[in-house]
Amino acid sequence: MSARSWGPADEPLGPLDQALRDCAAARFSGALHVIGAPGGMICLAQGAVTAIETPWSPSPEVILLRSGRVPPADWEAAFTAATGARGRMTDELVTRGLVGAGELEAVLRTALADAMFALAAGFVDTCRAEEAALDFEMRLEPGAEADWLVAEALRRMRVLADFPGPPLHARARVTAAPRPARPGDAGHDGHAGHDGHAGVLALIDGRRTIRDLAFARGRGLYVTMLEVARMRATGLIALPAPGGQRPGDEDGSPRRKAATAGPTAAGLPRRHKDRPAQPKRTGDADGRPFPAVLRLLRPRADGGP
Amino acid sequence: MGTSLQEALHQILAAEGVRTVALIDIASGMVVRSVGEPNPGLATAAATLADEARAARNLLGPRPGGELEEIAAVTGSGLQLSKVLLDKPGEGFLLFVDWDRARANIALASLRVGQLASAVLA
Amino acid sequence: MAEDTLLAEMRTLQDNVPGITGTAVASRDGLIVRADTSGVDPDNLAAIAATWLALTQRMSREVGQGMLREAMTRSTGGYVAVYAIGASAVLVVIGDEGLDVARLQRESAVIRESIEAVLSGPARASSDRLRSYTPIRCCSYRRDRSVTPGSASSWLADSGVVSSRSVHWSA
Repeated sequence: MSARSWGPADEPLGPLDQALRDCAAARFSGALHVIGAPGGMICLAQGAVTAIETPWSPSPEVILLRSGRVPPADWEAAFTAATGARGRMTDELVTRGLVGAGELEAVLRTALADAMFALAAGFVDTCRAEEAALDFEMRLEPGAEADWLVAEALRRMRVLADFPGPPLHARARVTAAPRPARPGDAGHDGHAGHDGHAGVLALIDGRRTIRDLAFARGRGLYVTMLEVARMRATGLIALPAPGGQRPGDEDGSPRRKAATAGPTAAGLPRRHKDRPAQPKRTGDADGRPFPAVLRLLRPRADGGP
Repeated sequence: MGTSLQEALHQILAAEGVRTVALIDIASGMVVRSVGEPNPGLATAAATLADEARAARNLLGPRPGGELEEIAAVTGSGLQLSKVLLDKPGEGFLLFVDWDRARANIALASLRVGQLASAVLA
Repeated sequence: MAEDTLLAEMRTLQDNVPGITGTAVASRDGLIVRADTSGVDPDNLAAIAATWLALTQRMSREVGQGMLREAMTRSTGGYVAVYAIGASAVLVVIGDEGLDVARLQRESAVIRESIEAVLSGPARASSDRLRSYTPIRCCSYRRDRSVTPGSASSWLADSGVVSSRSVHWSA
């Protein structure tokens, strides 16, 4: 299986689940490109997942650096050493005593689960496997079973679905709800939690989306969505009204996709002269546009020059 | 690197009467890694335990010496100890150990887990 | 509430590319036109961006690599990129560690054209115009654009000349 594509599918993860199963069966090593929103890339070794890159989920590097677990200077030193010795960053971090081995594995596993969740929370259009030797810094080796990651992603979706209110979107901007401060209100009615909602509240500025908050804190997208869901339930924060989002607007932004014709919002190739080479869309057999495109296309405005 | 966590969990599994050992991420309720007897209810139990840990923390509140250390559950056949392991990126982990109640008691189990817990994240 | 078109374009870019935390448009002489950022001094940003763009364009010519497409810094805490908007302005994009760089490169090409169209308006733009726009409720758009009602505005020359075209909104 040197190169293969999976077309759109009407599943929670689109064609991704099937693609991962096929890759596992073939003990595929290389990149599985996930085209969609956010889309990303899954690094596989012998059919197991060693790394996932997606713009909606902080990488292990971001988690370790933003939390302060590893000072940036130490990180750069380890990175330089690992690159110079053609070794693994993960080994270097452990050897230098910057992170415990078990701890690092736990960080890598939770980050993988979060990234898979991010892919599931968005929209997967197509997948394409590319046999290639990949050079990822922080790989989980041996890799994690893809079906375990997918099951965990679906479990997380169910947990979030149980919260009251409309579904949360990763790219919805979060605003602090105006509340009169009460003396000794640090606990916010006892929902402070270990980290304290105070940590997240300090970062909420009406501009940052849930995904942005996750990156700003160096915490996973899922745990950030959980916290936002809890805060919404107790009235601490507000999110844009669901009316501002079109059905199937998986990109999750409350702002209208006014700029250009739909395809970009779902991460599909644009009909522009400078569209870069993209994998061919394995289209609908009848040549009908994909459902995502139908939902997102808008009638053209006849502005005229 | 990949085997260190598994080895540490296996060390605990080797203790007499232990049926399942798992590392649970408190913030997400996810099972990071588990060894021992296959346990179909583990994923659900893990999420519930994580919620309990967070609720217990809220209840205890921040005070010196007031940090949650362990949650114990006793069932008809088993004894489940969940020891809190702290970690900076996040809300920490629970080291979950399920014992056959006929072959262990709380005091010894807690002691044994306490001895081996520090090796898990190291 | 009338939002100006320029901000709408900047927001569109931010919506289309995950990881963008702020954008700004500055004139080539280092003055801020519009900043949609938080925690960043817009005046400093504009001054540095204009200089940086000029330097990198110069560098590109110096090594014979033609037109500069993008200049980008990558730091432990994120990315900053600058792009030329026509001959008179600079677009600054700030992103965090999760910035979708590939998508930014695709989207920026389109948004630069849109912003240039907004800035030029019916008559040729000048630095003075850039600094003294007033949002009003009419605009001109290219044929392949759809528009959100309520987000219209246009550049207004100091002399008070108003351009007005009829526009069809999409629902």
